[in-house]
Amino acid sequence: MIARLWRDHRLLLVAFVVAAGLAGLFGVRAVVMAIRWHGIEATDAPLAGWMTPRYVSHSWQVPPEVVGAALGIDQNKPRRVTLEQLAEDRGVPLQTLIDGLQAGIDRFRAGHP
Amino acid sequence: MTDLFFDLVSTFGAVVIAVTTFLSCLAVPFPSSFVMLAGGAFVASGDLSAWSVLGAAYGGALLGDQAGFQAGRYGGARLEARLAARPARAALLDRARAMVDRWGGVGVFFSTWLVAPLGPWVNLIAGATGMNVLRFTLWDAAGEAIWVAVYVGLGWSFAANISTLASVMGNAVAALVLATAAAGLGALLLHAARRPKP
Repeated sequence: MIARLWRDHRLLLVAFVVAAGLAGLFGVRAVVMAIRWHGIEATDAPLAGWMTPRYVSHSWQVPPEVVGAALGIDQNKPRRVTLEQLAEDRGVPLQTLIDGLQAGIDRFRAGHP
Repeated sequence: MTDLFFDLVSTFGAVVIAVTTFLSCLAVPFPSSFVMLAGGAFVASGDLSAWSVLGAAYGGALLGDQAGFQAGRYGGARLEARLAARPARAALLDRARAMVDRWGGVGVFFSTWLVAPLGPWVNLIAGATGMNVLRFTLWDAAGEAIWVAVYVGLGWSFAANISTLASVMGNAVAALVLATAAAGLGALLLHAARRPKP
């Protein structure tokens, strides 16, 4: 049957094998990532420019005041701002801002094991 | 790439979510799933309100699906006028219509959330084959509610690390869509294998 399909419907057969193979590949990737993620990376998302101060305090599970103090902003103000915008407003490189914030979080954690 | 869309949501808010879900329902390849995950995460962090994120995602999706459906209706009417002179082709359209009559509601329902990348095409087909507007709208609204609730809910629950969640979901959705395509191609192959040689 396979031989006949290969002769008469080659394109269809190839498309089927490719689709099924890729489906398996992506399925395995999803499962592997889910398992790895379940273990170690559930919190503490690496700081990035798209994050807001409130998001950082949520992800790193530190009080908003700690993040606010490290960035020098008032966390109670209802303004949504990203780390990238903050860096731009102040004319400092994003990485400098992130390093300062990371240091602030690490200091707080060192004091609250 | 995912970071770019997270950035758009945190910078511009719910508007980005509405525009993205609208366009993705019209087959513009915008990763609306990432945008909804981000929306859910910013609800959890307190940067966006739940109603604005859910409303934007749901509203954009419903409008996008209706636009695709109406485009299909318009295109279908023109197609039919052209096919009227060619009975063999017109019969093909009739067969498609019969299939949509039987499975269309369920097809629309699952194409909105389980295999969402197929959604835009199903909307066009539903419109082109003259599916009842009310039937389409009800199944569509039910399916999109699940789509929006699942993604925003996941983003909210796993807000602490949505980048990783987004890549897990991306791979899972790709696997589902490819598996659906493989099943369709497999059915065609079986059909071809059973047909006696000409």
